[in-house]
Amino acid sequence: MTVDRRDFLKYSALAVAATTGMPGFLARAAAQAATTPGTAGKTLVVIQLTGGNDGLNTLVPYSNGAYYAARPNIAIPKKDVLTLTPDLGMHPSLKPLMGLWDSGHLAWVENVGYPNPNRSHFASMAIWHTADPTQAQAEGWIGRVAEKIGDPFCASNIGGTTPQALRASDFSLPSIDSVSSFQVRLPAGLDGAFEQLLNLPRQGEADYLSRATRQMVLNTQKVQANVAKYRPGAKYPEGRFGTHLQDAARLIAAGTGQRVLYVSLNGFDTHAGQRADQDELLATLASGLAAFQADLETQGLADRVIVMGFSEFGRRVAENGSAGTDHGQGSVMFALGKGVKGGVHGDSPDLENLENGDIRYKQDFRGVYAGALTRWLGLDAQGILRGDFAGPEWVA
Amino acid sequence: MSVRLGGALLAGLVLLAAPAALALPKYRTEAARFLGHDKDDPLWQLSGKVMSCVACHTQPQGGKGWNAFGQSLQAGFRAQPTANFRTVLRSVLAKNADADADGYPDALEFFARTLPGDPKSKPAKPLRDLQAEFEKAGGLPEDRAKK
Repeated sequence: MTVDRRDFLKYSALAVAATTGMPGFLARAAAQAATTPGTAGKTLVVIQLTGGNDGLNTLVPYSNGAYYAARPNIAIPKKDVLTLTPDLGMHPSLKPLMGLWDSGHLAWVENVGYPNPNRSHFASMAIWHTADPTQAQAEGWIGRVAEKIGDPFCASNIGGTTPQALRASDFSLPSIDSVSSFQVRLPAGLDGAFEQLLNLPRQGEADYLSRATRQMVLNTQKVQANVAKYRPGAKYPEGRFGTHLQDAARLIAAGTGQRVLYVSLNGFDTHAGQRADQDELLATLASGLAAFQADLETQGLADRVIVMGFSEFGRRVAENGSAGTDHGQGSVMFALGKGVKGGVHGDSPDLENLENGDIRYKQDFRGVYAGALTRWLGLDAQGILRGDFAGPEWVA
Repeated sequence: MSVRLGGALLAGLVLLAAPAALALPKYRTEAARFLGHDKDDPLWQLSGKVMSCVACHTQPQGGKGWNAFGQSLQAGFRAQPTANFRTVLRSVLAKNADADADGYPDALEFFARTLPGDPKSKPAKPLRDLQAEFEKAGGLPEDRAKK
């Protein structure tokens, strides 16, 4: 097996990560800094709305009488809708995103789903994570991005448990619960010994490894210093979602060079009293994303980051007896950022031609993923998604 | 050795599966917290006894099929479609109604840890004694907080 210098540095970074407890993304960033300074590239931030967000009350078909007939208690009144087109408008809680819409940097993709829809949270989420409606694959689509790039630290989940989307066949991409808590730290009493070990006189490849490791530690400290230097360019809303978005901005601003970051917002399973819950969740979503975008603008990074959001399924068209909605099929996706072609992409669902009470999806979600992979990240979508999927041109 | 390893793996799998299998759906969690049943058991979130699904549903696994109290709650949601779960639950309990017609109002049944939607499940104490105990404890949670 031949190992070139780039591979050597990458594996050295992994070795340092293993021996120092250094977070993998920092080691990776250090390796990247040592090899390709200033070529960090573009980042995709994926937002997961967990629980099954109701698409019809998010992007509201306010001119459609069938919508109001199906939802006598929970429909968004026409007077409250934030008008986008003569037929569609946003939920009023999404007001913080109106500026992005007006500037052409907010896109909605209508009627998104997949063949043979599954109403189980776990099964449907797995389908979105693996990009495989047959559920035959275990690894996630972002995990396959990492395999394609050949870099096990090119993406991270911001939060607790790594979602299946970030699992590759042989490894799992890291989860970062709090960026500020990361630091290079050896077990007590070992830091001096480690330094002595690194400074021992060596020859040949061992000498090269020692020097590379010392350089890596220095570079990693620089990355950490950049993380510490970050000053938010916007006020984020309180709560985990806002904190996680701010951590994403912090990582991007620090130049860690990650291609995909993943943030989740939970609680969209609105079987009862939907208006109260979804109204609040969409307000959290919108205020967080508006702050994130404003922060990126301040940091001068807005042209290098786009956001793409999804939920595992939408809700049924008709409300249930508890002023809520049950698990449905198909929903909307959204995207925002300077690299996004704003507007509504795709056709709205026909609410008078339903399939067992659900909308009939028209756009396979993998076609939307393909846009992000090909047009934003410059990757081989067909290889990663294991198929050729067409979608709207939502990336500018 | 292999048996021990197998046992450890099995235990690990059970632990990994536990949060998904035993986690309380959000409405049960909210109801338990609102009514103070979360104080009953340190492992209440893993207990099927604390605020069980049959508090509102007809089936132990929840889902469709609502008992008499569940139907009262559904009506409460329809009456206040923009109110959150706690507000609706409180307003339903504040009516002092007896959904299952077993002689004990719904709020008192929750206080006594019996099922307000099942006439076969009712408190052992006489109504008057239970009512006095309930009032002495401060009544509904938000009333208790004000006192």
